[in-house]
Amino acid sequence: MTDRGRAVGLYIHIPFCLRKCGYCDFYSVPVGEAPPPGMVASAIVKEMQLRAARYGRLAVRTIFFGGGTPSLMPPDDIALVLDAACAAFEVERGAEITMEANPGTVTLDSLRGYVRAGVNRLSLGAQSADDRLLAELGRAHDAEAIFSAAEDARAAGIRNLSFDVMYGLPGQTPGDLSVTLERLLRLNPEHMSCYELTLEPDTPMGRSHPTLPDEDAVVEMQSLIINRLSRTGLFRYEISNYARPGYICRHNLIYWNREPYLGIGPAAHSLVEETRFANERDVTCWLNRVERGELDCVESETIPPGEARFESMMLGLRLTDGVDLRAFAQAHGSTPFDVWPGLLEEMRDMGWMNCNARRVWLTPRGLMMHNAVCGKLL
Amino acid sequence: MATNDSQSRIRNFCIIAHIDHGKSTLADRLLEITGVIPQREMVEQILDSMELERERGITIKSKPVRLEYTARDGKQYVLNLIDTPGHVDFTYEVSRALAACEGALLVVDATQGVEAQTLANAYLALDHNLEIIPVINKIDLASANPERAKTQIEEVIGLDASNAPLISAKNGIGIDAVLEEIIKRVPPPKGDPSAPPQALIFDSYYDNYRGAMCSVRVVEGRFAAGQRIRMMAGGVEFDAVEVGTFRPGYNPKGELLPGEVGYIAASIKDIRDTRVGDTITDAGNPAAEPLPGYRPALSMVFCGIYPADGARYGDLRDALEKLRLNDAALLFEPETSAALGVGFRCGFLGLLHMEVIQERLEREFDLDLITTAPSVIYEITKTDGVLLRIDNPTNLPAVTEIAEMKEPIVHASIYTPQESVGLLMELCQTKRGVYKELRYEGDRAILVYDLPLNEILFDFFDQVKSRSRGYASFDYELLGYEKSDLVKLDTLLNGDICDALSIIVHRDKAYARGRSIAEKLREAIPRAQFEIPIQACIGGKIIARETVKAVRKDVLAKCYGGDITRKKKLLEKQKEGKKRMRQVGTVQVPSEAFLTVLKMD
Repeated sequence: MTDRGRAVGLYIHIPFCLRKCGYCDFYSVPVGEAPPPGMVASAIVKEMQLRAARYGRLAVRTIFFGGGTPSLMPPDDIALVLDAACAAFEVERGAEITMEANPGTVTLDSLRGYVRAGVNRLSLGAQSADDRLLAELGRAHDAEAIFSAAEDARAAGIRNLSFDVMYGLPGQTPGDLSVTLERLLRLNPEHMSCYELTLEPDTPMGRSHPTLPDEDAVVEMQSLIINRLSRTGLFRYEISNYARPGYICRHNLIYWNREPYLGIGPAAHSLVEETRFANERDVTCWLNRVERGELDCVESETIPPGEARFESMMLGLRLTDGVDLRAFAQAHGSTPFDVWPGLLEEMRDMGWMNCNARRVWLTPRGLMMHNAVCGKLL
Repeated sequence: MATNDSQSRIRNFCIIAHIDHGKSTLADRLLEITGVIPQREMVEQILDSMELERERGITIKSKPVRLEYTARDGKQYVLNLIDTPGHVDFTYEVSRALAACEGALLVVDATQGVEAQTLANAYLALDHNLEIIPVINKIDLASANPERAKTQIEEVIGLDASNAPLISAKNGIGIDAVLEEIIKRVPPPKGDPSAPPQALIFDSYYDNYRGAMCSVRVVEGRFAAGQRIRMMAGGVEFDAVEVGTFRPGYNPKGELLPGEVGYIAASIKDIRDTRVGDTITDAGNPAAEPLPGYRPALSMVFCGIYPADGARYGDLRDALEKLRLNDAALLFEPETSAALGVGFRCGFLGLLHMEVIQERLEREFDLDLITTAPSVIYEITKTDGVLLRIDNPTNLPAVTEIAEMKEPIVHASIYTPQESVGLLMELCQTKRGVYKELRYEGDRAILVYDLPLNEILFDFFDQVKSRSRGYASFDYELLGYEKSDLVKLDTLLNGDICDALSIIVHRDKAYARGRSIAEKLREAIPRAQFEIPIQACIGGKIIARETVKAVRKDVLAKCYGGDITRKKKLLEKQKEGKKRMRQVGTVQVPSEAFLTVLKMD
């Protein structure tokens, strides 16, 4: 199948941070050590033009500025990038345009600038509303900065606001988490992403081996989140994501539905024409390549059909709605029941999976064991 | 005719030393200086040709090589160097190699002085009435103290070290002096070429083209191609196809005469017909008596060896067959385990032999193995009077059918510095040892205990080393069987007995072992979606219990566009890991877990 004519998600990676958080293994460099934002913005523009030359004038359904800390790029540069995106690609009317931002890096003025540039969804990296835990995580802001950033976002005209929250933090109790949730819910977000802390071995926090809450406590925290958010009308739609009806993140849905996406910027990943590839990770190397007009990528794999089927399940089963059987059959030429005879029934009998004529999806228990489910499908 | 001229110019010798004192390096230099191996073809430690031997610094097979040397007296001499294995498991093989010699070089490191093995080896050589020539090595090192080493040799061992050559094997210093000392002091071999032939087999090995080959020392008479030969203990006869000497490759020769060291090839198919220690004679003109000291190879230690990947059973069988071609002491027969599938029950001379075989299987044949806890042979008298010999705990009859159980006891001698005696006695005591004797030789002590063999199977050797800071060494021989209060300790995983984890232990040790096994398995067994009870039990009685808690969640918090490839790799890695797991009833057990029963605190 070709992706030509199929709308893609456009991901744009902004590789700066004020400083590196202790738990984070995403690619970013402190803002002072990176090339100036204007230079990065021009290179992003250039890369989009190169991609457009390679793939044609793709239809773009969503745009997502991720990082790093995209809010460290001034509104004018974001505007430059978005204008160039509209010039290079067919950006759909009403496209979801998300920008990640960290509290403490935005002002009412800058937020107005982003909105003017076209941003219509803001994802605030709150992580916690507890100053002690924010410090422990190495975050550059306090709880107060979250509240004022949210107020400024509303004042600037953001109608779709999301918070990132982390739980299972060193020394955190379900009670602590509860306080954070209450504080953030008062700001009436349309969307929340709640991630259990994953210790990555190659991060300062991963190397320091902190004492984390035990498994029972973490499971309790997750139930707390699911229950508390649903009472406020934020419903779980993915393992770690919650939204009011109509506010599911359309960009991220592209990943989980295994639809094509194009990544721009250093370390950005793409899935286009059944090929997964990643850009040069180092910002300077990436910049030099783009300036030479090269589109080489550091890793690239063409996904064979069997693996594509597995990916569709691995990703789709993260969603509470699961995998759409008709879409699966269209993409892969057979149904999951044919590909894994007996296995889905086995998982249904284990209480992990459910299905009807249109979809297969995981039960809350199945979602909790998502890795084991994938292990069986592999 | 008595000793002829050429016989008077033969010297048969071996080199003995503590580990790392430079035995193999000295052998290299002797080969080089006598022109056996041109310098350009020299590799380090040429006689330790197995990768494993070089790496572990141990010699596993006895290897002879013939050196020709023109001495200062102008005459040409034939020097046969017999390299000997260096470990307690191979004591018998060492004794046969020593029996083939008249002299021994005792290499002592000038920086270390006399060490435990120096002493043990020196006594072994003295037992065989060998002329011992002390050699002080590593004199080029800054910390060398040759005078102290000499004094120690004289005081501790009681040998005259005043003329000991001072050498550096590494830098080729003093090698001539060693050769001259050999000629001067090692007596030429005796033996009558016209007597009924007798040759001692001190090693045998399998050659792909010539069959099982005997390394021999001719004691009396002559051996030549075409001769009908008889193995005196084995009782089988063959036609000798070729005789010759080692240089170190095959060097065919018309005949082998008394005092000569060489090989006899007779198209022998099975290495077990060429038993180490056996005497070869002429079938038409047999010797009246075999040479003294023959002992059949005795498997003392048994364990199950299984392929980690069940599909490689055939490869494992082929590999064992290849190793057996060269190792008469290796026994194996197919066995089936409920937990591990099909594999082999293997018998070994001792623990090092077991380890060596396992390592060779893994390296030379690229096999992944699961090994069960080593066992010894127990003698069981059933209530109906039937006698059983059991080498696998699984085959033990029900307790109600057992009238009496006996276990093998060994006579163990520990050579140790005096200051470690207390700690080592304590160790022997905890291992159910019965004190026999404590002797002092110079400033060394020899501690003698009778010990159950199953107590020294696990960590005894390591303990002896750690309690003596590495100085002590030990040696043992089988004494016999004694009645003992033994029980079978089973392990249940989620209610199912795992046969591969069963062991036989003394009742007094059962509780502690059971607890330790259960605790270790709790660490080793990965959590599943259900709770896994681990129980140690004797008969129906549970003596220890641990629980592997159920997994409540197994999920990755984030999976966005950039995480997908990584997540797939992670899942694939987990799947690979599962291949190394064995299904025991409902429980997945990693291969490594089967080793945990071996380890003790």
